[in-house]
Amino acid sequence: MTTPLLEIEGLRVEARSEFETIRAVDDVDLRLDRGRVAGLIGESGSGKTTLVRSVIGLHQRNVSITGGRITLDGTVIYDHADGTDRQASVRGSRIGTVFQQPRGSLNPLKRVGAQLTEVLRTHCGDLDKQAIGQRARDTLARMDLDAERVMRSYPHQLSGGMCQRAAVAIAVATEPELLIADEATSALDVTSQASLVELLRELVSERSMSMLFVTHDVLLAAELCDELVVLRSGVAVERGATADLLADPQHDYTKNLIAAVPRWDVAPEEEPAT
Amino acid sequence: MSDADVPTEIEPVDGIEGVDDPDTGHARTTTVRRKMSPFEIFLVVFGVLLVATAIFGSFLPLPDPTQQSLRERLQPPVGFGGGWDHPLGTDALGRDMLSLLVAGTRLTVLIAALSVLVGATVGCGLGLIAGFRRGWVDAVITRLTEAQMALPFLLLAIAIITNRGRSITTLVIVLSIVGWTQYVRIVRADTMAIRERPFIQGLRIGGASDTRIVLRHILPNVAGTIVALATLEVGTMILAESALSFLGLGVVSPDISWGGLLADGRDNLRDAWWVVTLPGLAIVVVVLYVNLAGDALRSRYDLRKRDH
Amino acid sequence: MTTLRFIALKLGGALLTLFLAVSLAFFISRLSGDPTTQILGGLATQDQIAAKQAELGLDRPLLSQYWTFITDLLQFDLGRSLRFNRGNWEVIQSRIMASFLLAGSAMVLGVVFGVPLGMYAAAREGKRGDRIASAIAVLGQSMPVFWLGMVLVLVFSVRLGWFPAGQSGTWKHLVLPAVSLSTIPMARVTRLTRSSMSEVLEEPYIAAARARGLGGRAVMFGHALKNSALPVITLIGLQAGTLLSGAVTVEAVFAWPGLGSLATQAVQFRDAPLVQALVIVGAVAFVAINLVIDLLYGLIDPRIRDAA
Repeated sequence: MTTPLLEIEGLRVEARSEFETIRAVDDVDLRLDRGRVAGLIGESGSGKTTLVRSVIGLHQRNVSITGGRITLDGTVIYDHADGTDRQASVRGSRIGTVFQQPRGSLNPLKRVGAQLTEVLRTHCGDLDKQAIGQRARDTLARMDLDAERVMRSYPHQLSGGMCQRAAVAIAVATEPELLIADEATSALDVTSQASLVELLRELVSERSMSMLFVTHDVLLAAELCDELVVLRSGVAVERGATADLLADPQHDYTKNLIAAVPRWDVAPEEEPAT
Repeated sequence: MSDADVPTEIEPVDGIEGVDDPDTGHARTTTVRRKMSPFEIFLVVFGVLLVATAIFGSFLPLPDPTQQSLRERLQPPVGFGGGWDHPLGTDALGRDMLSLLVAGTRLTVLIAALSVLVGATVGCGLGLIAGFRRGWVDAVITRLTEAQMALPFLLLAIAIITNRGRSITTLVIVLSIVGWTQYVRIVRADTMAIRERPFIQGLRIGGASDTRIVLRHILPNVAGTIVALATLEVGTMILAESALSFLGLGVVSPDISWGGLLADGRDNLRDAWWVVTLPGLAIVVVVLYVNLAGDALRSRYDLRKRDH
Repeated sequence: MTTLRFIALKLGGALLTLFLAVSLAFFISRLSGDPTTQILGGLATQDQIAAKQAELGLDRPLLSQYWTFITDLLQFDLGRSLRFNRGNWEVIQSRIMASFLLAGSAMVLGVVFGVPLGMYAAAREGKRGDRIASAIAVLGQSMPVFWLGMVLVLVFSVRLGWFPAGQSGTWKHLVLPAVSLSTIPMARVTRLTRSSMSEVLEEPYIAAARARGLGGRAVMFGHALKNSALPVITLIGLQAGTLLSGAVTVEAVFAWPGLGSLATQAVQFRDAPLVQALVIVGAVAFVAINLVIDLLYGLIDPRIRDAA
C-alpha cells in the first residue's frame, strides 16, 4: 500500500460559544491518494468547512482542534497527542486553497498581480523577480485569463468568475501537491461554474495534484470526484467510490441528499390529493 | 382586503446574518444562560448612587457648600496634612471640597441629561425621517447634519453665548445644538436598513400608515442603539459643560458644577493641587462610568458593535 | 478623466457644505440673541442700543443682513473686530499658525500612539493586552483635556520643572499642551483602529491570505492595515473640529497664543464680529481638511475612484 498524500485520523474540532460547546467535527478519518479527487459533501453547517480549515490550521475564533492527527505525504503536520503543529509551513506552498467568495478572497485594495506575486515571492525563494512575473503571467494565462489585464486590475474591476480563476491561479502558482476547493464554484453562475469545474479537472490531471473538493452539490461532486465522504453534523456517515456510493447509498442521510437533487429524466410524483 | 390579511404582529426579530441555523444536529454541551455579570451589576449600582447623589445630595450630613471661612481657606485633604473637619480639604474661600463636589453633582448631571434628552429627540426624529423618506428629504437632512458638524462646537457655543449672555438655559441650548448630529447619522443608517426588511415591506403592502410603521415598528428596533449612544453622549455633554464652565461661559458661582469648580481652582493650582485635581477626578470617574456603561449597553443591543 | 470628475465632485460637495455651514452659523448666532445688550450692559439707554445696532448693521431685516454677510464673505471680507479695531482676518492671521502647530502636533501624537495601540489590541482581541489597551483608550476619552493640562503642569512644571507651564516659543513650550490635547484623537483613533482592524481580520481575504501561507506580519501590515485605515482616516478628518474645540480650553490653560485664546478674549469683550469670523475660519478649516481626506480616500481605495 502506497503512502497516501493526505491522511486525517480521528479529527475532532470544537466550536465554543458563550452558551455551549459544539463538536463541529467528530472523529473523522479521511484518506486521499496522489492524483485523486475526494469530495466532501453535506448540507451547510455539517462541518465541511471547519474540517478543511483544520487541515491548513486556520480557524475562526473560538474554534479549536481537540484531537486527531493529520499527515501530509508521510510527514505528520498535526498531532494533537504530542503537540506537533507544522500546518503553517505547508499552507500556500504544499497545500493551495480556494474559498467560496470569488471577490471576497481577494484584497480589494491591491492589484491582482501584486497579490499573486506576493505569494510567489513568499514560497518560491529561488525565483528572481523576472521569473516570478513570468510564472504569474503563465499561470493566469493557463486559467484562460487575459494575464496582462488581470495583473493590472483590482478585484472589483473583474467579474466574479474571473476573480475565482485568479484565486485558483494564486492557489496553484506555487505548484502545491494538494488543492483544497471549499465550495469554490458555489457562488458562480451555471456557465462559469461548469467551465471552472472543467479547469480544475484539467489542472489536477496535468499537474498530478490531488484535490479535496468541498461542496453541498451532489451532482457536481458526482461529476468531478473519484471518491466521496458524506458529512453530517460533524460525523462522516458514509464513504466510498463515487459511483458505488451514489448507486447504492446505505445511510438515510445520503439517500436524502441524493433524492434532493432535481432530476430531469423522471417526472415529479403527483402530490397526493388532500 | 380584510384586516386579517395585514401582518401587523410580525415580531421584529433581529436576524444575525451569516450564522448558520443553530440546530444542525451537532453534538453539543450547553452551559449556563447569560445572566448579568458582576461588572454589569456594578454599573447599575454606580448609576443609582450617582443619580441619588444628584437628587438627595443636599440632605447628606455635610457642611454647607456655600459657607465661606477665610480662616480655613486652602486646607489640604486628610492624609496630606488636613483634618477630618474637611476630609477633602477646602478651596480658596474656605468652602468644604467634599460638600462642593456633592453639590456639583446636581447641576453637572442635570445639564448633561437635559441636553442629551433634547439632542436625542431632535436627532432621532430627523434620522427616522431621513432614513424612512429617503430622496430629497434625506439629502437635505444629511447636508444640514454635515454643515452642523463642520462648525467647531466650542467656537459656535462662544458665538451663541456672546449674543445671548451666559445662563444655564443657554448652556442647555448650546449643548443640544452640539449633540443632535450623532443621532441623525446612526438612526438614519439603521432606519434605512430596517426599512428594507421583509416585515416592514409586509406592513407597507398591508397598508399600515407610515407614522405607525415608524413609531411602532422601526423605532423599537433602533431603540437599543439610541439608548447606548445617548448614554455615551452624557459623557460628551459632561465634558463639554466642564469646558464651557472652565472658560467662565457655563456654570459660574454661586451655582456649582464640577467644571465651575475647576475654573475657581485654577488660580490656586500652584499652592493647592486638590482644588483642581479633585473636581477633575470627579468628572473623569463619572464620564468613565458613562462610557463603560454605554459600551456595555452597546454590546448588548447593538449587533454591529461599532464605534460611534 | 475619472480622476478629474472625482475631484470636481468632491470639491463641489465641500463648497456646498461650507456654504450651508456658514449660513447655519449666521442664523444660529442671529436668532440666539442681540449682542448689543451684551456689549453695552444692562444700563444702556434705548438710544445707545439703537445707535450700536445701527453701527453693527443689526437694525436691518434678517435676510438683508444675511445677504451682506454672504456677499462680504465672497469677497473674503470677514468684518472688523470691536476689541482690536482691526480687520478680523488680520487678527486671526496673527494667531492661526500657532493653532495649527498645536492641533497638528496633537493629531500626529494621537495617530502615532493610537494606531499601534489599536492594532495591538485587535491582534490580542479578548486577551489581557487588549483589555489594557482598551482601558487606556476609554480613560483618555473620559478626561477633560484642559484638566489633564493642569495636572501635567502640576507634575512636570511645578514639581519637576521639566517643561514651562505656559506661553510659547520653543519646542519645550509645545510639549505639555500638545500631549494634553492629543488624548482626544489618541483615544478615538485607538478604539476605532481596534474595532476596524478586528472587523477586517474577519474578512475572507485575510483568511485567504493566511491560507496562501503569508506570515502574520505580512498579513497584518500588508493586507489588514491599509484596509482598516480607511475609517480611521475619515475619523481624523472629523476629529479636526473636536481638536479646534479642545484647543480653546488647552490654549486657555497654557496661555498659548492661538485662535482658542483669541476666542476666549473675544467673548470677554463681547466682540461678536470676531467670534463670528472665528466660527467661519473654523468651518473653512474643517471642510478643507475633510476635502483633502476625501481625495486621499480615493487615492487609497480604487473602488471609490471608479464609482465616481
